[in-house]
Amino acid sequence: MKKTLFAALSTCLIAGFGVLPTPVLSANLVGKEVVVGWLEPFTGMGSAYGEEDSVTMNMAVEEINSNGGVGGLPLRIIKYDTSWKGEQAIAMLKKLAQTDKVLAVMGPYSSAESEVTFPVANMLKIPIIGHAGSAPGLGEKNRPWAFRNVMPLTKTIEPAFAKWVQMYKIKTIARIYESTDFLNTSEATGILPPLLKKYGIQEVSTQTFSKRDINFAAQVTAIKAANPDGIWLSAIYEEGANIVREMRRQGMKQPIVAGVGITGPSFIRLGGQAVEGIIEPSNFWAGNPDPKVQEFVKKWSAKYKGQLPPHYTVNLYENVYILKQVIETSGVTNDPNNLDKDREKIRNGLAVLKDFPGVGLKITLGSDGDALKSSYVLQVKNGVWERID
Amino acid sequence: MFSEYTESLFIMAGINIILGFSFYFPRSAGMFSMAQGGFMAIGAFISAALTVKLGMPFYPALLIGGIVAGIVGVIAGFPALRIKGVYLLLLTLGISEVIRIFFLNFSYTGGVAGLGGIQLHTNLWNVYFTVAILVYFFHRLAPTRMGRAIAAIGEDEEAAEMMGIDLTVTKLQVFGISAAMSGLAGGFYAHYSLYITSDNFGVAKSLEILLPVLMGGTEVFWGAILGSFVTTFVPEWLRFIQPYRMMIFGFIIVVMMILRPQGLVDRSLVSSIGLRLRSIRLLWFPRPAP
Amino acid sequence: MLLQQLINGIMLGSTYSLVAIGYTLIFGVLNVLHFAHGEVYMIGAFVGLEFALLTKMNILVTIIVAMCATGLLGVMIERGVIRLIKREYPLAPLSATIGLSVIFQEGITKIFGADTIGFPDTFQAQSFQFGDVSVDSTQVTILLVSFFLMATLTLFVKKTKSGKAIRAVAENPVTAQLLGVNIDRVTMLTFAISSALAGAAGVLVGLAYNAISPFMGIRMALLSFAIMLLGGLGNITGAMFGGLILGIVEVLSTVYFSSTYRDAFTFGTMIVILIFRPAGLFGTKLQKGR
Repeated sequence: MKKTLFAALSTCLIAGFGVLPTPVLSANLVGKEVVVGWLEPFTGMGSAYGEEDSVTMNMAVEEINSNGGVGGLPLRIIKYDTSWKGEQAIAMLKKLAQTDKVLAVMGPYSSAESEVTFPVANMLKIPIIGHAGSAPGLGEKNRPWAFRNVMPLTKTIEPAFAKWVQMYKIKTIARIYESTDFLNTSEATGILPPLLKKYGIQEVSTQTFSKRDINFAAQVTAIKAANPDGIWLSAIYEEGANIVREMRRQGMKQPIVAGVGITGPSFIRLGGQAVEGIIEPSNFWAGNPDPKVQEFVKKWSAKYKGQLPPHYTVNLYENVYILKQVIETSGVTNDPNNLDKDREKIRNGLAVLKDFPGVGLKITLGSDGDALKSSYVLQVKNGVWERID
Repeated sequence: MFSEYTESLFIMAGINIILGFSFYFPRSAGMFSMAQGGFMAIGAFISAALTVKLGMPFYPALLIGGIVAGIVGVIAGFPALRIKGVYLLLLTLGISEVIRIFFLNFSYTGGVAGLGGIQLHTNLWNVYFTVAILVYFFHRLAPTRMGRAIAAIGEDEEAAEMMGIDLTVTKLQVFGISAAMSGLAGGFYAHYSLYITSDNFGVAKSLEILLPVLMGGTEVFWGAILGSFVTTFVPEWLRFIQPYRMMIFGFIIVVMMILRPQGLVDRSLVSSIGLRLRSIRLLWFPRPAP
Repeated sequence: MLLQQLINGIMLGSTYSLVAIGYTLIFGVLNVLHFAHGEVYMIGAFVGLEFALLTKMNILVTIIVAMCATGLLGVMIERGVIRLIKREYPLAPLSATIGLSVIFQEGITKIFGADTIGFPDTFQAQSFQFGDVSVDSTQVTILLVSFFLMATLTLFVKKTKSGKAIRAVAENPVTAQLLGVNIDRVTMLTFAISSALAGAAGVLVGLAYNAISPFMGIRMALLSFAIMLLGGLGNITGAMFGGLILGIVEVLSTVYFSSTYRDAFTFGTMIVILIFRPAGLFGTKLQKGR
């Protein structure tokens, strides 16, 4: 009786999601609850991300549990703090895998934490799915157990760049990037140069800065002297917003296009008026009329000071649902004696995940473990990100 | 024996003990060094580059990493000969940063991308075997000529010089050996975390190393051992108060430094325990012939 | 462009000077490395920000309020922690203040969030253009306020009795005590003044660079060490010029080389000075054992 009720509920839920992605095997889980691990920075430098992602995680778990849980069992998340440190992330992943015996792990946040945890997940043979670490090649290096639901850098940058070049008739650019960060460095020195060649654009100045810099007057003065048509910016939002402010303060009015690091509303909050007109590629667009996006945005803001959700946190939300679906449809038993087999089933389920209906975009996990997701080109208009492609 | 989680904590504590020793050793000769985070980077990057890029087996690579760090330590020791106290602390802090920035820009070991694809070679046995060797080293060193020279310099440098101790040679030896210890710790760290970037090292790391030693006490090498266990395990026990655990940990440090500024273990504590344990110790660590 | 870059450097450097003066004073008087001083600066920025948001008062009132708050915090740190640690253990205050900075960073994160925030746009700046060089009202405020504070401090230590007492202790604590200077009072005053200056620097930096975060003090603390050495330990004028010089060096090395090498320049300068001119560019007496 209970099982039929659950099946009905879960069918409703999946129907509510729109498309039925794969034929649903009837989930046949034993035990009292489904336990999944989560690594996230709650203290230290990254604790802002931890705070925002907690809202998302609580939201997803509440929704799932009030709609019949995972395969009829309540979902329980065991979360551990990484303190933004690799060593701690490794220790906590081991604890999740071996002491807490979770089925799969979500997180960690940064590329650096992912670089150290993904190989360990491979050794421990536990599926892990990240939601933010975007450094190129992370998924590919850590086959077959590590996955990432983030935009692939190589495919996202070009549309935004092309749109920007065409909109502002750019002939010369200056690039400025954070040279102490792998993601930003690979954007500015790996992905950008071929694009410049392809679109026949000349580079007139290159400036760099370091993590947690606050003063960008020197770099901006140099760029101003080179007088480019436009500026390429590869930065995390904190430094990014201050660089743009400094440019506007020094009277530079050139159009700016940015990489994936500045994503989200924090950039606008920090940059204020100065960041109007900035263009970036993103996986999420809060103004998307898609009802699922609107519902997510509404619920999230209600729980977090009325602010709009940051763009990466959506990936975490999707990951919870991805794991739910994979656990329900790939014959996982949830029997502690079958833990190894269950983890393997989840891994196989993730590896073939195709067209999963995410919040706004469809997600397919490619053979390199990274999500094949399309992206939007966004521009800041009147203090919010608007889609322009 | 343990869960892998507990084991990984013990491994981290073990690496911290080796690093703690590398701070304690120059300290016993009256030199405060903050360059340990930099020497550790040398050991880590060199041993990892040898195993990953040249396919060298782990142990020779670990040793070479340690030796190179030791050589750099001797070179860095030369300016340190003239400088004392807080000046030395700041000088070594600068050296630590410069080494970190070198690896940030050195593309052979990955540069800003860091060095990944390292195989797991570090385990409880090889880390604690190294700790045991170092404990034995300190134990055997004390009654030797060099050990007495170090103690004398630590007590009073000028008096030591008048007694005919060669300050230059002794200090450089101490600096080199302690840098080699950091290098070994770096090699273990690299082959444990499997991916390293320059961010893992430098001044931030030196401060992380300093804390356990200062908490444990710098008078005897046991301080580094106890301090490393305390600073590795206490934040873990505090996990139940998750978001506040680092704050409470900070509070514990402050209170402990007020109550016991010399650190948890000092000479008088060791000798009072030592008296009781002497008979046992004689069985296990026969004193070397004079 | 060079002229504009020099102005950028002086702007940056003048805030460095304010923090570094505090370091050098505290070190001169107490012979203690106060690691949490960077966090005092950070708290100054947060207090200023909250006050500005709540009362919408003008910037000068905000700075004064922040200075009072951090001055008080400095006294609390001295009374509540530093004074309680016995003077024979010079390294204990160092680890205690490392513990304090952990508490402050995590505490502020819990209260205000770890996100970087900026001052409200009510303090929006007006730009002035002189030929190629552009300067705005915020920059003028920063320069005026920091130079006013530094001038006041110089007058204070040169002309007033308490000021002279501070200088006397900084130069030679033993002699000063023999001459009847109340060391306890001088220590407290030093902490109050140093912390107030750091608080002012926090507000100014928050205002100029819109980058207030719980972790803004870490790099500032390291830079201040370098500046302190550049200017000579305990030398107030030295710290002022040291800050300006470092600001200019940073700006020029960023523009003409790369920001990844910038810190190598900063710390390289520090190492060179320590080796060849340990008294700092502006000279100071060297005390034995420091």
